[in-house]
Amino acid sequence: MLSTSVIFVKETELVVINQFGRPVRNISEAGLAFKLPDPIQTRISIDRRLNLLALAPSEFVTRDKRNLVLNAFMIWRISDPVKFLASVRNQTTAEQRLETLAYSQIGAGIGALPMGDIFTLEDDRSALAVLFEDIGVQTNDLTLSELGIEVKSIRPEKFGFPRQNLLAIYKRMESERNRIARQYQAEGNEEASKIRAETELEVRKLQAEAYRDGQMTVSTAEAEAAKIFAEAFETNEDFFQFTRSLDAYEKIFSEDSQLILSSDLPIFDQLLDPSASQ
Amino acid sequence: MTLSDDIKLIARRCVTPLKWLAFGLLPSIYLLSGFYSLEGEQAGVLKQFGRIVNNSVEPGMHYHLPWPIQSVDKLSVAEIRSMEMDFSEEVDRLLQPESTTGTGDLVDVALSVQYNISDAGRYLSQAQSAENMLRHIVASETLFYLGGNDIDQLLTTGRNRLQTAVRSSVQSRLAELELGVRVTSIQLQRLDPPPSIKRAFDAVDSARSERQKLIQDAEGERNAKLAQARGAARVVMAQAEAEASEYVQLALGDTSKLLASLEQFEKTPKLTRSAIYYETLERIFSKAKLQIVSPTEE
Repeated sequence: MLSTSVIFVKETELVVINQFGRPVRNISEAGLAFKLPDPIQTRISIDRRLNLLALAPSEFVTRDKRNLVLNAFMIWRISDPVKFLASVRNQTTAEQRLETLAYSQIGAGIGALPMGDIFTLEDDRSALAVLFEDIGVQTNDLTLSELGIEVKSIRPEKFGFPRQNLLAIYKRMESERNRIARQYQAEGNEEASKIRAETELEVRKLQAEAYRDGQMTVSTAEAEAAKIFAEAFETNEDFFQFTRSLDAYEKIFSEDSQLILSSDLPIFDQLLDPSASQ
Repeated sequence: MTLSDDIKLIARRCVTPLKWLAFGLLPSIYLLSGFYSLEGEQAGVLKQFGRIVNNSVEPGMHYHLPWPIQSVDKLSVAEIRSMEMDFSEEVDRLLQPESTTGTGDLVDVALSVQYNISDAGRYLSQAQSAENMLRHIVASETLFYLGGNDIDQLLTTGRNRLQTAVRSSVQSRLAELELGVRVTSIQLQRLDPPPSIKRAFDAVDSARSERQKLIQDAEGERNAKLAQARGAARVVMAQAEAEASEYVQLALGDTSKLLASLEQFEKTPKLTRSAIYYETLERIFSKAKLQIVSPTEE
């Protein structure tokens, strides 16, 4: 009988000491503990470990009547054994209560937001994370006060759209990609033709400048040549007039020219009258 | 001597050795049960009456007080364990296989998690199944990260960032929960668009490279044409310069010839004049057709 006064408390458990059926003491430190022997005081062990409750996938509706599908999980543990025993008593019942509570909280949370608020990239944190933190806090408040259970977190594991919407989503993504591809093509073509047009302009410019510069060079040279002639001309105008005229005659008259000359010309003196002297 | 007498004699003789056994050997065995050893990669959790008194007993040979006073749990802690998670493997009536990004697009994700035990005591006593919890936490933190980015970021620069960001946020959750597990790394095995529309995504990549190619080709053409044009321009200039030089050279040549004649002329003007005159006429008259007529006195 006395041996029931000595109890070992494991790290994984909380022990409630009941005296004549009424809870009088909680032991939360593991190790050796003492109590009054049975049946004056009896012990009840409560698992204090963290539990994982995986919720089945379910469909929820947003504020703007769009459907979302998600499955979530809860991490919970018993924090107040007396309240726990008074409310649900065992793990199975606890899980049922938690599940119901979770679904209603998640439903409420999602139902309060329009789809656009959930799929937004505004801040660094995803809108989902913020939403589920709130859901977790609210659920925890409820479970602590009603069930003596601490809910550490409720989080989604998968989150998306009803299966029947998937095809439409794939199509949307695909046409978006096609649009982007076409845009790249268009940009490429536009840039390429811009480059070609510019090139054309530059080529023409180069050609025109070369022509202009060339012409200038030639005309400068022509002027120079004329100057050389003029300078030479000035030294003896008379002589140069004479030779220049003779040059002109030589160029003007060719095989096809017909000259009608007077016999008075001095060159013909010897021809017609050899004795005449000049 | 009767049989019963013999038995009594043997029994009396056996008592002493049996006493030795009972009061000497058995307690010794009991006391010796407290010896234990830990391998290099192991850590021990020493409990006294169920309470953890040392959650990281070093490797080696140790002694603990025998049960039920003390007990030891051995765990392999240095070993890095690995967990594969393929998010698209879900087969469910309701759930889509892919993961959802921040803008409502879908991506196909698979990753692996490397972790080890950081606090052996906590690992054993904090949760019913720490590994299972880890799995769910990784799934949820990955989901949150994907939900905070758009698909283009994720498919291009997002891979490394996802790995570090998810590792860090999972680690924070684990620390909050005091699970005694540490995630050493997260590795993305797969982050792709849904298989059925992968082709459209590849087409974008090829369109992007084609754009580059179109531009580069045009640039190449441009360089060639400009080089050609510059070459042609040089030719034009060279020709002009040649022509120009010719003009000047001819002028110089002709004037020097004439200056030479001038010198001659200035020495004997009349003679030179006639000579040049007649030479020129020679050339003209021998080519052209001549008619010589006598002028009539009118």
